[in-house]
Amino acid sequence: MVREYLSKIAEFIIKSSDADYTRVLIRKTDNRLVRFANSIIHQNVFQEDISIAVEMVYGKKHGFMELNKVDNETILQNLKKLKKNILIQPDDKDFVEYPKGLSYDYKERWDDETAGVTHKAVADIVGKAIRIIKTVRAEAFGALNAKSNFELTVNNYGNIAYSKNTFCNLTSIPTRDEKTTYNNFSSYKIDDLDIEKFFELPLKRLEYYKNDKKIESGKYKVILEPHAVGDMIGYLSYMTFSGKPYAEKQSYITDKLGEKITGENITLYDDYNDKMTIGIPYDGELNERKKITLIENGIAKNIALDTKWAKKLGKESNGHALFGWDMPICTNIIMKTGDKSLSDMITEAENGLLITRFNYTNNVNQKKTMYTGMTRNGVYRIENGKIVGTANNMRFTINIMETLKNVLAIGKELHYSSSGWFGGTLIPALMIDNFNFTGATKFS
Amino acid sequence: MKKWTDFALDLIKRQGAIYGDVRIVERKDQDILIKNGIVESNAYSESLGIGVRVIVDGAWGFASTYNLTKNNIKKIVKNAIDIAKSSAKYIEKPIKLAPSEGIEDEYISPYKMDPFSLPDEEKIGHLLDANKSIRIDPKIIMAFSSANFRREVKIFTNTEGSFIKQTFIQSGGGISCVAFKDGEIARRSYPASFGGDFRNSGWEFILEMNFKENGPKIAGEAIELLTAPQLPHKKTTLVIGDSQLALQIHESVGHPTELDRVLGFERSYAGTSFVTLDKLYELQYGSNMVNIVADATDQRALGGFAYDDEGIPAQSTYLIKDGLFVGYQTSRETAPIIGQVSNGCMRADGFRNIPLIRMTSINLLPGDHSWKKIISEIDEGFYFDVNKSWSIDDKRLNFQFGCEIAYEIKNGKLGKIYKNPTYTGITPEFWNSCDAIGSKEYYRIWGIPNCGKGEPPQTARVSHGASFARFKNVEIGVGEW
Repeated sequence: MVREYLSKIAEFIIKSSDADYTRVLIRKTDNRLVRFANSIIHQNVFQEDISIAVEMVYGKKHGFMELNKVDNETILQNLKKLKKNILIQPDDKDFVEYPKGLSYDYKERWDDETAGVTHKAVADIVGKAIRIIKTVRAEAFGALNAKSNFELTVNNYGNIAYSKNTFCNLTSIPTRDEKTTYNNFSSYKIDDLDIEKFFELPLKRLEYYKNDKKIESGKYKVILEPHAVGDMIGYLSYMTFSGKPYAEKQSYITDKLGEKITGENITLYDDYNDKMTIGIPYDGELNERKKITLIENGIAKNIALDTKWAKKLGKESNGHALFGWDMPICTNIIMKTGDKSLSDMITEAENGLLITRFNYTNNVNQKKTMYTGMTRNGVYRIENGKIVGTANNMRFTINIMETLKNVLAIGKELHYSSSGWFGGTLIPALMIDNFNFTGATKFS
Repeated sequence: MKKWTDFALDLIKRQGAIYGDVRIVERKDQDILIKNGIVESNAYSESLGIGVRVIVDGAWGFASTYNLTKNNIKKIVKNAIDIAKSSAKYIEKPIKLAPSEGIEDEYISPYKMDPFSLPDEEKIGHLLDANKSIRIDPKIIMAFSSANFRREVKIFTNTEGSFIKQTFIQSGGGISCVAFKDGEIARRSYPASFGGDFRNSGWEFILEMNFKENGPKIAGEAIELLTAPQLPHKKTTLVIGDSQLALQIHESVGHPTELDRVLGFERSYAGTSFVTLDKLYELQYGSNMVNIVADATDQRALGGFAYDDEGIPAQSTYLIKDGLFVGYQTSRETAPIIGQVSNGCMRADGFRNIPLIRMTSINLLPGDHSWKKIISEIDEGFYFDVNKSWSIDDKRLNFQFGCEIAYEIKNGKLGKIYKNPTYTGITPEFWNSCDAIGSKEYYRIWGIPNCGKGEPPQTARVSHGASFARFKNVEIGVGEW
C-alpha cells in the first residue's frame, strides 16, 4: 500500500517534468523513539514523515529540490520553480550524463513485527530494561528506537527501485554513582533483542569501578571495542575512501592506490550484501552497488565512485552514489575479522586499556587522517592479562592510518551498527600498540 | 492554519490531557553553492507539518505528521495521547510545568531585502563574482562561495490560551578556498568556516559581509599556509579571535549550562554536564572579567526570537556573572526542579520534533581591550582564528579545537604564520585563565546554523556574541604531526 502511494507521487512528477533527465527519490518513515533517563521514560515520540527529492537536468544544467508536501498543485509549482532555477544557471562544464540505471525490488531487511510494534510494547521493553538495571542499584539511561523506512527511486528511463526495511536500536548507559557502562543493539528485527542478555556485560562492568584510578596521558596498548573502531573507520569512509576527496587531492590515499598504507593484517571492504548489514543493492543513480575492496592486506585497493567522480578519474562507477549529494560514499564498510576473542586479547595485552567507545570525535587534518576525540562510558585497566579496574576518560589525537599500522590483534566477532537508513558498519575489536592519548579528564 | 490548530487542541482537551500544545511549522530553504565558477548546487527545500505534545496521566506524549488532513490530525493526537499513557507506567512523579500566561501575538524577524523575493540571477551573480575574487593563483585548486536562506513560519498554540505566530527570515553565507602544492593542503574561509556567518536578516547581510573584497585575502593566506611551519607543542599565551571564540563559548558554556543535560536527560546521546546543581552560585567558572548571557532578545542574532516553542517570551539572563556560575538555560519542565520559572530556551527543529532546551544567543560580553593593547601586552604567544575542528568530552570539560591559521606574537607584535593550529584545555581552568577581552567595537554576534542535539537528532540555529579574548598558559600544538 505504501509502495502504491509513493509510486503515484513519483509517476506524477515524472509525467509532469519536461527535463532531459528527471530522477525522484521518495522516502517515507514511521519512527518510534523512547528515551529514558534517571530510570524513568522522559521522552516518547512518534514521527510520520515523507521526503520527496527531485533532480532535473536540462542540457548541462541541473538542479535539486526537496519537499514533504504531497499535493499535486504544490508539486507542480515547485517543479516549475526548479526548472526556472536550472535554466538561469550557466552550463556545468563538469556535468556528466546520468546512467539509465536498473530496476530493483528489495525487501530483505523487513520485519512485520518491528513495523507493527505498538507504543505500549516499546514502552514496556524500556520498562523491563529499567527494572533490570535497577536490580544492581544502578540508574537506567538510554533510548529504544523502532522504525520503518520505505524508499522509492524512479527515473524517466522507466527504472523503478523500491526498498523497505525496518530498524530497531537500543542504546543503554547503566549508571551508578555517575560511573557509566554501555551497550548497543541494532537489528532489523525487534525480536532479536534479548534484553536480559543485552545487560549482562554492561551491568557486570559497573563492578570494575570499585577499583577506579587516575591515569595520565601518553602512549598505551589499547583494545578498542567495535563501537570505537567503527567510529574511527567511519571517518575514513568520507575522508579517505570517497572518489571526491581522492580526486580533489584531499584524501590520504590520493595517488597511493596500490601502495601499502596500513599493517598487512588490515582488510577493509564495502559490501551491502553481507547478511548482517541493512544494505541495498543499488545506489542513488540506480546503478548496481558493487562490492569493493578498500584495503587488502594493508594495500590501498579502491575507492567509492559514482558516475561523475568516476569519469573525472577515468574509471567506471562502482555504484556508490548518494541521491542529491555530490559525494560517492561507502555505506556498508566491513573489516575482515581476525581470530581473537575479546578475552584472548585482554590476556595477550598483559597491560593496557580496554576502551568501550569514543565521544565527539572530529577530523583535525583530513589529508593526514588526523583525528581526535574522547573516550566514554568505560576505560578499563588491564594488568597481567586481566581487567582490574577502571580509569578516567582520555583524549586521543591520532593519525588513523599510522594507527592501523600498529594493530596487534583483530577480534573474531563483528559488531553491527547502523544509521537505520540502509547502511551501517560491521567491525571487530582491535588491539593496538602505542595509541596516543594527548590529554585526560578527571572523571571516569 | 488556525483551523488545524483549533481542531487539534479541541481533540486534546476532549481526550483528557491536562496540558497540550500544537505547533505547525512551514519552512523554506534555499542553498546556493558555487565551486570554481560553477553553480554546484542551487537547491530548494520546503516542509510543512504539525507536532502535537500532550501531558496525560503525568507523562509526555508527542506525535508529528506531514499529512495535514482532518483524519490524520485525529490519528496524530491519538498517537500522542496513547504514547503518554504508555509512558505513564514508567515515571516516578507527574510532570509539573512552571507557570505561563496565555499569549496572543504575531512576530516577524527584522529584514530589509527578502532573499526569496530576489531573482536567483542576482544571488548567483553575486556569489559568482565572489568566487572569481578567490581564484587569483593556480595553487588555489578549489574556491567556494555559498549562501543559505530560510523562511520559517511557526504557529504555536496551547491549552492555556496561547496563539503565537512567528515568521523568521534568515540569511547566511561565506567564502572559502583550498590551496595545494607538493602534497600540502591548506584551507581558509571568510568570515567563518562551515558556511560562513548567519543572521535573522535578509539579503542585506550577504552584501554587508563583502565577500568580493575578502576573496584575495583568504586566497593569499591559504597559499602562505602551504609553506608555513607546523605549530610547535607548548604552553603559551593564546589570543583567540571572535569567530573561533564563538565556538569555544558554544561547546564549553552553551551546552554544559543546558539544564536538561545537567539533569541527565541527554546522557544516552550527547552527554551530561560538569555544571551539576551544587555548582550554581558556587563555581568560579571563569575569571572575574568573564560575563556570559543567554540572550534571545537580540532580534538580528540567529538565536534570537520573540517566543520559544513553549510560548515563553524571549529573555536575557546571566549564565556567568563576574566569573561566577549563576544560571542555567531552562524550560517549563526543568525550571521548577531548581525552583525557578522558565527562561525560554525550548525550541524544536521543525514540526517533526519535540522541543528541547536549545541555546539562544550565548554571548561573552565585551571587555575593555583594543586589538592593539591585547597584542602589545604579550611578549610571546599566538593568535588563532577560524575554526577547523572541535571536540569535547561528554561532561564538557576536556576540549580540543583546531583552527585554520595561527600567528606568532612576539614582543607585542603579530609575526609569522603557522599551520595546523590546535589547542586543548579543561573548561573552568581555561575560562579562569582569561585575562583580557576585546571591547565592544570588536564585538560581533556569530550565527551557528547546525547545532546538533537530541534523539532523533535535531539541528538548531543558535548564535554567540564575542570579541577576541586572551588566555594564559594554554596547551597548543597537540598531537604528532
